[in-house]
Amino acid sequence: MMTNQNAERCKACRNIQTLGFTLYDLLLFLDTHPCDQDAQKRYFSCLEQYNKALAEYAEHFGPMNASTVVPGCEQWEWVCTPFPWELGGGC
Amino acid sequence: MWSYEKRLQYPVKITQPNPKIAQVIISQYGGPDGEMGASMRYLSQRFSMPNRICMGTLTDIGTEELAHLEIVGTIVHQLTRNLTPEEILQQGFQNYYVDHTTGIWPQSAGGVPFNACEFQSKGDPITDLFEDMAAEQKARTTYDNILRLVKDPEVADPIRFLRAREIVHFQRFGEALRALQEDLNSKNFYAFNPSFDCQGNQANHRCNA
Repeated sequence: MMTNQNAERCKACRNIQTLGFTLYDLLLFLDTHPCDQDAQKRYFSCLEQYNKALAEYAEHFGPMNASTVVPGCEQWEWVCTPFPWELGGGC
Repeated sequence: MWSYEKRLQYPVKITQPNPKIAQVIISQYGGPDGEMGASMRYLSQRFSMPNRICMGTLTDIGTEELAHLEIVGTIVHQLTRNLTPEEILQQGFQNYYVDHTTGIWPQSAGGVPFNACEFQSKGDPITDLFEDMAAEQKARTTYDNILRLVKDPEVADPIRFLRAREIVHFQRFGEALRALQEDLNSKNFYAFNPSFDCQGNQANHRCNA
């Protein structure tokens, strides 16, 4: 059974994956439609949510990238949290 | 420049090992139409593109292919966890195992090592974009072939995601090709190499307007 903490982490991770996917798909669309204002609006709105989700994730479960490492932890969190291919811990 | 994000683009959680199916799926890691070839193809071809729509599309799709390479590596890794020597023999995994144990190494399902000849970087944008569209279709066909063999929903789910992305990439490359052709003489698309024969006359009208 998943611990509560792990279930919460998985939920937060899925949210980042969903936002990250939307963002990346919009990025590819904008590459071939650079003048589409509606897509740009959606991109920036999604980017804001994405950055917020990354910062919140880092605070609760450790950093997802090196620029969201939270200062002041005893250990270097980047190498103390699971890597994505680890079963039951990855994201 | 790249930076790493410590997550998969799409979740993979495979609880039942299956080295037989891992040997099939590894083709999308290092096989002829796999993700390694895809990322190297696009990230290499972009240097000779004549407009920024093509440069951007190749950069960003090439980057996404690196994320797909990581997904395929994760699938193979999770399918080959905690194997006993008996299971390795029963499931026909011994030929891979003897050289790589359960490490991830780029090869095709038939055991052919990854080779840069799996892709082209021809220095001609029309030639390269046609190759890219064909490559996306070949990868989609390979994922369809894999899906006919996979019964485990935990494996089929991320494979379906990867298959769907091939279709989106095909669409984007088609749009990039159209953008390129709009900059050329419509009566004579294929008469010359727009990158080599028009040097110094870069077609960037969309981004420079």
